[in-house]
Amino acid sequence: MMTNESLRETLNRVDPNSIADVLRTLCLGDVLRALPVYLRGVSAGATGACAQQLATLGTVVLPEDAKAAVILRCTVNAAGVQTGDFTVEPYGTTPQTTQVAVAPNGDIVFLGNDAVTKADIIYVPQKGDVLGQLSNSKLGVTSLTLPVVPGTGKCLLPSSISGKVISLLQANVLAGTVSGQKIVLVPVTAAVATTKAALSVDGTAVWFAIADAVTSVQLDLLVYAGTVTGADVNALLEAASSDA
Amino acid sequence: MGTNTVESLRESLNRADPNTYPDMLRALAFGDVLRALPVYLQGTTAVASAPEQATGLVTVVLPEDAKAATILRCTARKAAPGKTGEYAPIAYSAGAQPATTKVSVAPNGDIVFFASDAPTQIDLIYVPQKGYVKGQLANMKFGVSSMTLQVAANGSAALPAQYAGKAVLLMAATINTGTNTGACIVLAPQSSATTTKTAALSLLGDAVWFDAIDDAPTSVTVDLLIVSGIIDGVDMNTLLEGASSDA
Repeated sequence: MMTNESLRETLNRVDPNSIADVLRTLCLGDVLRALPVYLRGVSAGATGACAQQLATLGTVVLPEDAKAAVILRCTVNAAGVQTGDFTVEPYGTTPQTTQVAVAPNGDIVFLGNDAVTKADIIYVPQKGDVLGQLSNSKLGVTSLTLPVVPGTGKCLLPSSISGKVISLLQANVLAGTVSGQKIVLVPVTAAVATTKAALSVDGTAVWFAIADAVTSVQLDLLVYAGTVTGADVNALLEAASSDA
Repeated sequence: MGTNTVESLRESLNRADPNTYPDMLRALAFGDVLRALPVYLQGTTAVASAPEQATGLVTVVLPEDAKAATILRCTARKAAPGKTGEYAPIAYSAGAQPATTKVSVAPNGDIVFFASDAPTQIDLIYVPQKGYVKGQLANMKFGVSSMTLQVAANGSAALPAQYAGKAVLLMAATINTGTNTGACIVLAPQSSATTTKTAALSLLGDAVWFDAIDDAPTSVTVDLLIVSGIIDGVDMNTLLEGASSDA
């Protein structure tokens, strides 16, 4: 029986005439960007300086195409508390002293009073397509400006990405009683408190505070890989190759 | 006095000489390298009735060349009421299968959940096992390579000498002839015969155990993941440390 060669096997052969095309299909840059990241000597900055985080936290602000999914290890070399390896807390947990966590928007946060100024962090990034303010992006700014349903605090996402959103990276209220950047919370199923915003659990909407009377917002989102511009590497590696 | 240094393959790759980098990537089995990177499953679903899993579980069935070694993160976007959100990865063991809002790597490398959680849209990040598939790999130019083995009276099916002690995972096991036939539930590795309609890799990775009494199998077909390099000699870790012929 004739069997197909998978893209994985095609890559094992490394035909010089087609390897560039195969790597382009896989979006090799995105593949490398999703490898574990080794941050050396980074600072958590001033407490409360990051608009997407609680005022009590210090933040290592990450690029939008490499927000954190999981922290593998965090070693603090200079801080206002005991240095050494900090305890990694689950996603969305507000860190206490000598703890570190992935914030709801994918940044890495410490307790501000720990005054972390030099840390080595190894983390696994989230992988996906950025709709936001990606630096050095040939596609330019792709943040979404959307209306909010009056009186509900609910901002429905376009059908093209609805249900495919991984993270709310930032939320900026353009029109409402409390405008500006909002603190991003973990995903929820209902309107949040004032000055906050959160992705819905099912990834179909972003919730704001009803009291903020929001009518227009600008959102930065991370959506499933391949939804906009990237590639689903997992599916491609299993699929039959056109180069076989 | 000067020191004569040797360039490693890692350093040669850093140089990426256009005349030789395809050869270097071929030596590394570059497709296998990419396949072993952390996997991002986005919007996947767990199914009932995977024959390799115990009852009470639902399963994300993974391809045989990317079974899971470790789960890094799991988020259920859609699930039974009150069961969405972050799921905690836990170690799987006999009698300690995942409880509600937990997730585990099953003994055969698939990813399993508590059935009543009914997760239907899941985002998973996991690190795959790396190795050679002796099984039913989709789109494989080598075709099906599952192994048919004879089973001894004590329920043990010894692996061929070239694979003995080098099996990483038992991914599937089917009894061809015996009192009971068909697919078996795969258990964690153990050192003696299993119970009815179950199978397990031996702790030493040199045999597969079946139920010798009720099932009494005499012929079985197994899908195994074997340590990398056993078939074609590619051991990426060694290669990256070794001297490069392109230096």
